[in-house]
Amino acid sequence: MTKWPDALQKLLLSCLLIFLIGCSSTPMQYRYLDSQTLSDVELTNTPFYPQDEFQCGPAALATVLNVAGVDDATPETLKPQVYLPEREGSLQSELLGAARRAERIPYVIRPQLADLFKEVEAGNPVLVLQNLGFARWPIWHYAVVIGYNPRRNEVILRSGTTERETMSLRAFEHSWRGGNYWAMVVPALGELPATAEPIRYFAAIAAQEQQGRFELAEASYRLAMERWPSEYMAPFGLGNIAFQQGRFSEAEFYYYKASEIAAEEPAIFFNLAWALVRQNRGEEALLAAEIAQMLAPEHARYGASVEIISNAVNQTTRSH
Amino acid sequence: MKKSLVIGTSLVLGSFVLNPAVIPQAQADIVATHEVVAEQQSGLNRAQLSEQLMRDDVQEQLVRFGVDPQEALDRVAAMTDEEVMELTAGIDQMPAGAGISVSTTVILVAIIIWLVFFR
Repeated sequence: MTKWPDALQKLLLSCLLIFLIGCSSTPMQYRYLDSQTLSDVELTNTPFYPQDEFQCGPAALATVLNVAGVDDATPETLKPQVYLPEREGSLQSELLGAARRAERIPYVIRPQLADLFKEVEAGNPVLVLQNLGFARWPIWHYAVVIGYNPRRNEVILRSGTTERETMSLRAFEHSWRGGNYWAMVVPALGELPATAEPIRYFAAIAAQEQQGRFELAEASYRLAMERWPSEYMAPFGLGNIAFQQGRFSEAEFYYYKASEIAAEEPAIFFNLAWALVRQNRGEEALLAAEIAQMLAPEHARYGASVEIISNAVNQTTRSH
Repeated sequence: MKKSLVIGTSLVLGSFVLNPAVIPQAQADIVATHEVVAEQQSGLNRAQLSEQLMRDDVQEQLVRFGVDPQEALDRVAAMTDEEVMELTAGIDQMPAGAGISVSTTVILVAIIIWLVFFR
């Protein structure tokens, strides 16, 4: 067999390498984004907190929280809540957590440029995670997107120590892709994110419900119920809040409401059964339990509904 | 020794009282909204996951990364189950946004110059 010339071998190898690299990266979104459809927007009223060394997390978070009406949020007050001394940075989940502690509903948007700009257009500055280094040698950075200029194809940000930073759309997407397209918005009270999707938004509210911020969660479920009247999760959540606060007949009302929207959801009937147990209506409770069990006979919890509820009914009748 | 035992116990109990995520729900019988949402999102039955253990683990990690223990408790309490689960993989695995400081910029520029001109 003839030996291939060295140069050709090298050429083939490098072609293969380029091919491999080309395959591994996902296509960039900005090429498919019709910049003509985007409007010229800059949220100039967005405050600016120049970051101290390594502290872009608290600074960026304070920026979006201020816009959401949390007036006492500053990088100094947020630093103990989000800064990790040994990592010299802040984690995404802690930014979300701190926004929850500030009594807001933080929402992670879909990883789409179109959604990001839609939020900015709606007046919500967007906190983004960027990688300003390389994939192998990352430099993680949080900044706040406040605008877009379609004529110059530029993204406008509050970033680090620069009050008004502009990046070409391509460069911005490159850095944002490095951050896995992660971005969050914090709407003011009484508002929904412009790009909110039902299940993602319900997860965001449920986090607050789980942490016992019932008043905020209740208001948000009501808001969601107006926006998406055909989603059962809003009345279901309202029922669960009422139940946890001991208002069982109100809980019953909301569970019924949820069941009118989604008659196939066992969770609704399971909880309805409990609301009836608490009101000493054992027979009705058992009926609801039977429906829950019928809807999901294989499920670990709902499959045992009748047994669970009849035990509870027996206990309450004994204690009375 | 008895004193430390008392302090230890009250710390543990205190943490349960102060931490909203740990408060045993007065009516823990119903299915929580976040559980139903999670099931819908992932099709996963998370009832078996020992969530409290994970929270303890993440809190410990935060303390190891320099966070005050009481603050670490509050921070973990503000996270969802999914976020906690993500962090159990190791906080050093997660991106921690910090931004470019002057020193890193200088080092970066120096490296690029070296790569371009001196190799």
